[in-house]
Amino acid sequence: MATSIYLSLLKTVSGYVDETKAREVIGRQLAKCGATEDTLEAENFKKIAHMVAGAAGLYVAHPERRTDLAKRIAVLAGL
Amino acid sequence: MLHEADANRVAGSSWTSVNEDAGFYGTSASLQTRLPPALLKYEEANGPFIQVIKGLADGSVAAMSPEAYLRSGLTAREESFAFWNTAVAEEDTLLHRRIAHFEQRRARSLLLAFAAVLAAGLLAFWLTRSITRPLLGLVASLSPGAVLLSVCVERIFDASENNFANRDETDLICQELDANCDAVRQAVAQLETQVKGATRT
Repeated sequence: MATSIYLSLLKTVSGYVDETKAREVIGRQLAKCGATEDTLEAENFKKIAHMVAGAAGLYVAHPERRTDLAKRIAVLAGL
Repeated sequence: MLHEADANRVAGSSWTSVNEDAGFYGTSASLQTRLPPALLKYEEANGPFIQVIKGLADGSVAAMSPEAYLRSGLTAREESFAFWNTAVAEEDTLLHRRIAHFEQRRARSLLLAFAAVLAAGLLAFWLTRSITRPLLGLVASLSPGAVLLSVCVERIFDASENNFANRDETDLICQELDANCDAVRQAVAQLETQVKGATRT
């Protein structure tokens, strides 16, 4: 079962990117820290937060929305 | 004349209708129970009257009082009308049965036509879906890809000005482009498979 952090992250990213694409993007970044949606915790999330924001931002056309997404992810990660 | 053109013909047609009843929209119980007795009574009343007339004509009946002749004639006429009333009522019953049969057939035909239209509609819906679903899948793969490409071009341009100093960003761009290529490739392959499958069938 997915952790609450993962679900919050997915909800945030899905607000900017299609949910399927959001899952794919987050999944690729999770693999980099050896986590899965069932094991993602705060510590791991802090490590990959900027990468998730960068990768998801590539699918957001407007720069303002991209910045907004990065800020939200940073807040979620406690950065 | 009364014997051949009327009584015999009435009796013959009536017995035929009783005998052939089963072959026309099923056996009518009321026809089978009501018509034969009425017909027998008709024959019993008409037979003597015809014999009297025949006898008077060929001289075998020497003399007959006018009252007796009239009574015999009136009895024959009454029984004729009684039989006629019974026959007409039974004919109405047979006509109602025939109408009910045609109404049932019409209802069945309408039901079949409705089922055929429904089946055609479902088939059309299924065919339309089988065409649009793979296309929608392709659109779903291509649509984010367009944004990705334009943003990546921007980022690559910016990164080239800094000699690609930020390795993480370059990695991200390459990874997402690669993933997007895979997704598009898969969507196209899936579409190709479905189109080939559809053309084969």
